[in-house]
Amino acid sequence: MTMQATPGQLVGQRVRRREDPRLVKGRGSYVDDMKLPGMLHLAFKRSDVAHGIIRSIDTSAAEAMPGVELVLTGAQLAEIIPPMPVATPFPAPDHHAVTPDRVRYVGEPIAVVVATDRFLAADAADVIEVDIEELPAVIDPERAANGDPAVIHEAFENNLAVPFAPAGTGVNPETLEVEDESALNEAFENADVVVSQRMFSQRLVPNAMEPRGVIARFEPGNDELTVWSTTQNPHIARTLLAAILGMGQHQVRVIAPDVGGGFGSKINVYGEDFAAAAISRDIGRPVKWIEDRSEAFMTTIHGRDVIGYIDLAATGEGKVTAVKMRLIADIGAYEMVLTAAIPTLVAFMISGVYDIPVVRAELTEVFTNKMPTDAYRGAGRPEGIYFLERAMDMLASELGMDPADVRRVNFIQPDQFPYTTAGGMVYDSGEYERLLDQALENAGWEQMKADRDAARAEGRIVGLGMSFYTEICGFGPSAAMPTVGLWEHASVSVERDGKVRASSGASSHGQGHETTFAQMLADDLGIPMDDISIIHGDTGQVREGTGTFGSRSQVVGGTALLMASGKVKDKMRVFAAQMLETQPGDLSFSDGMIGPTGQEDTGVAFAEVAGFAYIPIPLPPDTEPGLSEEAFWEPEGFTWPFGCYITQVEIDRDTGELELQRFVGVDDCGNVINPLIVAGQIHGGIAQGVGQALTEEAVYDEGSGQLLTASFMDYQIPRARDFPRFELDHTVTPSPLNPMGVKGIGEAGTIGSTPSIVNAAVDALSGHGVEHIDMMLRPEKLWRLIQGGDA
Amino acid sequence: MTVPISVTVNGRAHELEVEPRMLLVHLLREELNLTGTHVGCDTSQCGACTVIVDGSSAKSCTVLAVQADGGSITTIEGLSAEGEMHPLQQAFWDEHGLQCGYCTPGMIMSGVDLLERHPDPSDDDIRRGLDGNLCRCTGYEHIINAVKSAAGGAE
Amino acid sequence: MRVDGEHRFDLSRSVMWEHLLNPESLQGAIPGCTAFEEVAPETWELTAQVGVGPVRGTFTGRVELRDREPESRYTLIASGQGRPGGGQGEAVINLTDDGDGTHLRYEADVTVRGAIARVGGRLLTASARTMARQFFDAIEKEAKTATERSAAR
Repeated sequence: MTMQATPGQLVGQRVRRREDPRLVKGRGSYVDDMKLPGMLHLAFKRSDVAHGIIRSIDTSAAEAMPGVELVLTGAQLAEIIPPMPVATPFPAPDHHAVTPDRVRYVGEPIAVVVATDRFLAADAADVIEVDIEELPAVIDPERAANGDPAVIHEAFENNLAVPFAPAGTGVNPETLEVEDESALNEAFENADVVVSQRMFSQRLVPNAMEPRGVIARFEPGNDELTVWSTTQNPHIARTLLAAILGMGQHQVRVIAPDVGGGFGSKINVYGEDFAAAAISRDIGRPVKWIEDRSEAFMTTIHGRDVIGYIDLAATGEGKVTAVKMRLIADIGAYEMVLTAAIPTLVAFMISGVYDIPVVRAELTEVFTNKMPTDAYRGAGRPEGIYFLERAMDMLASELGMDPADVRRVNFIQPDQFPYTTAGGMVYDSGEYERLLDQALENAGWEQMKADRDAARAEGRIVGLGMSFYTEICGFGPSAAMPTVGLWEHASVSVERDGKVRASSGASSHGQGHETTFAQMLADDLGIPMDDISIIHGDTGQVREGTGTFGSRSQVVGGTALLMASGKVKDKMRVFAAQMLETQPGDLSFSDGMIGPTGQEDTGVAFAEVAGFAYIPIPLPPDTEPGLSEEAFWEPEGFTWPFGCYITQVEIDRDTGELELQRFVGVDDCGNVINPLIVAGQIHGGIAQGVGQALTEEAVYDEGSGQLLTASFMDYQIPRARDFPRFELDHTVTPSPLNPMGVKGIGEAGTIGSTPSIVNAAVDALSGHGVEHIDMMLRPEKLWRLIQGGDA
Repeated sequence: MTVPISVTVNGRAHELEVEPRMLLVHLLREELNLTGTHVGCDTSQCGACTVIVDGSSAKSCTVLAVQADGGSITTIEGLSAEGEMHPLQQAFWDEHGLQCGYCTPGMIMSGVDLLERHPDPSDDDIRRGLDGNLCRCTGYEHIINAVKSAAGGAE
Repeated sequence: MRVDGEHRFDLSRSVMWEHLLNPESLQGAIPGCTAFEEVAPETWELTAQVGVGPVRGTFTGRVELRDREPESRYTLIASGQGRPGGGQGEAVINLTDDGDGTHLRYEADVTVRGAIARVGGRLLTASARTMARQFFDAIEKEAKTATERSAAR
């Protein structure tokens, strides 16, 4: 079986996406575009208080409205389906699709209306009367951790979802108990410099442009359920839906058609999905629910919301000797599928790209009356890198060192890979100093500094920022998330005319799998890309799968495809060898031909071999007819891409408005299949990181628990005018952990950009005595700092 | 209660009975099955529902169907009516100006309007011209390349 | 959320006091008020059309007066509920002399929920101030009309 990908004609090329013609013509097919005969529509009555006990619900007015078929309260729905599942090893409170008794965040579903059209359903939901005895809203996580002002789940004392999870030096990895404080204490006692700062990676709303949606169709005749869902991972959705509905996996089919972005928010199966499926089964008719944007703000998972108390010990030369992070994650009111696992990833990032002998992370996760958090682009890694890279800049500032130099003296060196961090992470490969030098050269770092100083001499408020990230990509192996399994599945079938149908369990929602996977297979099979179709996003057509998240599709899904392709090629060699009267081992694939390596053109056509495989007269010995193979692949470890982002900002003295003037980035994601798509992923990642730094923050009112930023009017995702041209470049350090040497790039931009911009803003305001600013860097906050006040 | 209206959409005349509260975007999507026009928000910020009404771009979620009575509307489907892509559609494809594709129809319709007003736009013209359209995937850079490229191609 | 503000009336404290607490004046002065009924001493139920930014709707609510200190101070407790959401608040109103006129200062604590909080939240302070000003202007107009009427009599 061939495992080594041959560098071909398409891999590495800027190939235009095959997905695009239908999408630019408005001929895509998203969940909301679909109508089924006899379909009914759902609308949810939602809580408008943050915390309380439901005293009574009056659905009579809603039920009396024309067009309303059914109204179910949470208690009634709870008789049909059990609480929702989680996939983390932590204890979780019961979380019902529609709450039966208490409300714990604004927007939590209380009842569901089934009606003949969506507007009638919404009207009917409006007239449901709910009497709620209000309880104090728990909003501040640090107060919440003392049970103040209330306890949200009785079984979780002081609102502690995860009371104390330590990791790193002195922690027994089996028992997760701190056994030895001496190394940590010594490092801080002996340090020449200690940097300490409370930092905050604020709560964000993912805001994929397509809101969530679901169509569930139960067919009573054959007891089969088909669900069209805006999911990133149809197979996980199928597994969870089947489990909650008490059905077999073979009876549930989940289809993800065109999906309008996810960024982690569409990993979860939500209460609305379970409710839709259960109701369709109950009434025997298809039902549809489409989220509106207000609901998306309130009730699609949020991201981040981690407070970090960061301590960093170093020598006078800038060598970091220890890092400690005390982390408090505000996870909201419940645990969703991965909620409690995400903040644990922050601790995994504690070493960044640096060779740090002693590290310690101590994590506490707290319930509050907010929407639960879960994976949002970067998921744990942006927080960790932000905390560390801010601390590195504070160290540079403390020592009067160039931020590049303080990073350089701490880098893990190329000969140290595979490198095991003090926290037990194993990095696959890296060449950090080469990339740093590339970034400094591309930016013109020395000139940038001179220009900044000159601008300051004119009284302008200009700052430069730098960050150097690495991140965990290519999620598997399964041991990293034992409740899910983190392999990927692929199949490759060569049809009798030589055309290829390939499938992947990695489901695209904007990433361009149909293109990159086809590029890869075209090269591997030596046939044109147009002869290959890539099938994804349908558990009825793709036998197994895990899904698209954690920058894993190319790494894990791509490798699985290559393995299935290798199996098919091995079989084609057997048929071709018989046709050519030669040995299978001597045969290669090129330009639509299968023949002796280097002389493929003297062999037999790919399509002819395919035809022969389906009418094999005579059938080669010990060989089955046909050409269809599948493969599962699980990586042995994570991949660790890395990069450096240099930014320049200027702050308007009179208004406090920050302008991002330059963004210079060098990324290394190993080998690149399609540079156009990689660039797009980096751009999009940067944009979301810039959003966190400058414009985005989900704010709940401290007293009432109301979400104050519940529309695009109050929660600003970046616009076109918020960016300069990106100046991007890359180096290539292949991963040794997969045959393509790829590492993943989906989240990199989000992780590296945020600390770079905050570092630049702090640099800009260093003359005003500013050492740290919490995000987001809104003009009013910066203006106050310029005026000499507190942010 | 319904109200009779007549609208021309992508060159085709329609006589319809609509509820007074129906939005133009729902008329297009639900009544005419033109699902290329998307709904991305409920406060008229995102621009995913942008169409051309009587020659100017408009967010079809801010227009009542009855207000479009007598009007002529072009949707994303109408841009490539002959099967040939509009130069801006082609440019979005060539320049990788989209990822998930959800904001794309609105972005392209705004771009068409922008190029009518600024046939040779600068980066800044494009960034300002697309201010009413949100994209969460691309960071806008490839969108700007696409609009520039379409402008160049039209010269 | 705290909303506070000030208002100056040309009329004297005793005149203003009378009108600020007079149900008929209140009904006329509350912006958008369509129904106003006393349900208990010092307690009224009312219906009003209110708009906060893009969020508009009909609200039914209850207003209660407490802690009266004649001509100088009272507390107003209000709650309301409509389809776009609901809210409650408590306002303390202080009156002092200001030359020939009256200086009024109000401090209110308001909580809202539903669409009003989500979409109208950032406009709420401004809307509340505007409504307060409309209310005070209307009360003063009523007071002036009444004063002129009685003077003419």
